[in-house]
Amino acid sequence: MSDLERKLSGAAAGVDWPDSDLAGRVMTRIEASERPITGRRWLQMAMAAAVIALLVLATPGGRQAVADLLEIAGIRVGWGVEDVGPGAELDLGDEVTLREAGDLPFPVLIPLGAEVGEPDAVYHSDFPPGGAVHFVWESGDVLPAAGAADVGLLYSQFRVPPGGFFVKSLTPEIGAEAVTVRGNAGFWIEGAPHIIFYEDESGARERVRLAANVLAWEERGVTHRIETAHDLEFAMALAESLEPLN
Amino acid sequence: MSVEGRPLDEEELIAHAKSGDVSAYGRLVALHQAVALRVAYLVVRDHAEAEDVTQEALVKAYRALGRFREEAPFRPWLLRIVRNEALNRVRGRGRRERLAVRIAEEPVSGGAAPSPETEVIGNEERRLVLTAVDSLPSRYRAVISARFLVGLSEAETAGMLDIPPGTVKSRTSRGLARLRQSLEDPDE
Repeated sequence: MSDLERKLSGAAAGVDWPDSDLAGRVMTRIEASERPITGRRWLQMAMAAAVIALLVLATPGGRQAVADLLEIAGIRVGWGVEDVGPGAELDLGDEVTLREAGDLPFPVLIPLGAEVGEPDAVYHSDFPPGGAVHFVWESGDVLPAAGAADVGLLYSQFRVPPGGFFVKSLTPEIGAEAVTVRGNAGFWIEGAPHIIFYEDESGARERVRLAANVLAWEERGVTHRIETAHDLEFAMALAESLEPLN
Repeated sequence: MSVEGRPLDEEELIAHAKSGDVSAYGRLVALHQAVALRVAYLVVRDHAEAEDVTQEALVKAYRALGRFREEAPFRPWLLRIVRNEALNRVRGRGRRERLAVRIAEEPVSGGAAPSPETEVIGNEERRLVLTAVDSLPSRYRAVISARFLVGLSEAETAGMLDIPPGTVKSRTSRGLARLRQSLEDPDE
């Protein structure tokens, strides 16, 4: 063990850690709870509601077929209504350099050749648990605000381990269509801001953030999503311009 | 809660808890709550909130026990749920504040001889070390905190963070190198 490791242990020994007996409280809560709606059951209910909504809407264009396709690694789409509170902010992780973004355990792509230029900020996050990188371009004349006031374009790449996935909750007025992106199955969602949930392996479901128009697809085990106020044509052109970072 | 006077081991407690024995689960909680609280506290940086998050996660973990593979180690599985619950809590709040961890006012050794693997250092140096850990990029911070502040093994850290053991090893080594650099030359 090095001096530094001993110093870290010494620092840890000096931390005022919380120290409570939770066993009794946890047991009381478990015993008192009637079988609550867990995340997974909630999702099943949302998906059931989605099917009902689809049947009722019965819009032309085969929305049922679209619903069947709107599931790629790490993202599921369902129809449901959720109350959106104000102040939901982006929380994309730690800011890193472009070079550090290449340290992720999967090949990172970047639209360097596109007219949008280099991203204004790069973030890395351990969430979802497979790791994520986010490229952010500030909003301006060319890139109108997408979701958050100062974000004109957000391109995220993440790998979701088995058992975890995002859930998109849509309201019926939001359009969704299945598309092919760089030869891979994906989807495009356009309309009012919608909500993304993350469900972890414990079945817990948490609201993550709001989203603008989104193009999402899976490529070589990595889920990609482009969030923009622009249309599908813009997002597809950006996707086509992607190149490996390293 | 014993067989022929022998206390149940963890594997038996898990089997009992899976079959709906809440008191067996309470025993499991008692075994792991201290380290679970540390994991939560490192994310939320507040005692009361760490307790709340840990309690919530432990209730969720009980409901998720059916999906726990019995051949896998239990503690990393449990801690992963606690950490995710804590991360979700902080995330919902929007921008995360970087609060320094609270340093105990009194010397914690309490007269006991410190372990040879622990260097007794003053509060000022503790602050410097902990601030340096806090300033690491998140992928290094998570691994260094789990290994040296929470006290998990490499394998447990890998299980909790859901990354390969080789990644824990390389991030530990790179994280320590960064720490060494920032402690030697804080202006860099």
